[in-house]
Amino acid sequence: MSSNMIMLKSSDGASFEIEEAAARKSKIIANMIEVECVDEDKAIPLQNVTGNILALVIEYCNKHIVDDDDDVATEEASEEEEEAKKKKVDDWEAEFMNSMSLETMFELLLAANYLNIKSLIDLVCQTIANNIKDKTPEEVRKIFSIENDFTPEEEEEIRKENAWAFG
Amino acid sequence: MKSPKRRLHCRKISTGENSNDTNIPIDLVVEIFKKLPGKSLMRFRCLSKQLSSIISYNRYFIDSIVTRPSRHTDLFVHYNVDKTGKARYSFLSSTYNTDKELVPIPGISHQYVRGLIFCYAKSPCASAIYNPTTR
Repeated sequence: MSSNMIMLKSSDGASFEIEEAAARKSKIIANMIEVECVDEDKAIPLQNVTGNILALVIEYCNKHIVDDDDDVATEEASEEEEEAKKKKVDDWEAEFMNSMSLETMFELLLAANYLNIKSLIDLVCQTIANNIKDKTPEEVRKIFSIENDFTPEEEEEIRKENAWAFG
Repeated sequence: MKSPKRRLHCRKISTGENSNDTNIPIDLVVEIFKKLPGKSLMRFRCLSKQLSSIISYNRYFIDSIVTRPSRHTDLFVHYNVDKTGKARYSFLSSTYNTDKELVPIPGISHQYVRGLIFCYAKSPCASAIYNPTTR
């Protein structure tokens, strides 16, 4: 395993050291490494990610790089072992997202999108979806700052059409 | 490299209490909506014109909903005809903790496609389409 370390710098000036293998979880950083624009002595500045959010991203990447290594090591793992491993990852992810505020989830989602980490985008989207699925349209509008551009009549019409979904 | 930076300049907006300061761009809102159950999606059709049209008409959005792996939605449909000749469907879902539901159907002939059930009878001539998820 490559033990190359890469430095990342958050928008508020915090520096983080991360293994290259973990950093490659981000397509953007992986691309930067490919085209050799990563200087070993210089930190990669991430203008859109604050230190506290970057710490979460790095925690996620570190965890998942370990899991990928496991996959290689136990290629002939039985189905049950695979299942157990998947459950371990699911449990870790549930714990990771647990008790995170919606505001933090949004910032984490923006960071994952900026750094292009598909699995983290999926995880955060799913957690936010679980969080809002039982909320009222008014609450969801407020959460996403969505402006209601329907006339009261139009909105009533749509609500009537989908009355079953409001039960 | 085309940078996604432009849309990621998150505007900080404060719209009072309980609202989030981070503005999520519409493409990410759509990614979140792709993970919602059908019932929530139907309820959120009234959020705004843009979201309503994406949920109802956008080909890519609908395809992603229809083809997403249904990890934990199994619907068991049981069809039976009782002694009096009345036909009924019973539905049992693994997702919702609902009890078995009985739906009387007109006639005893039926066909189904993509989760919808079409029932018809020759005499008296009657037909109906059932969507088990909405009942």
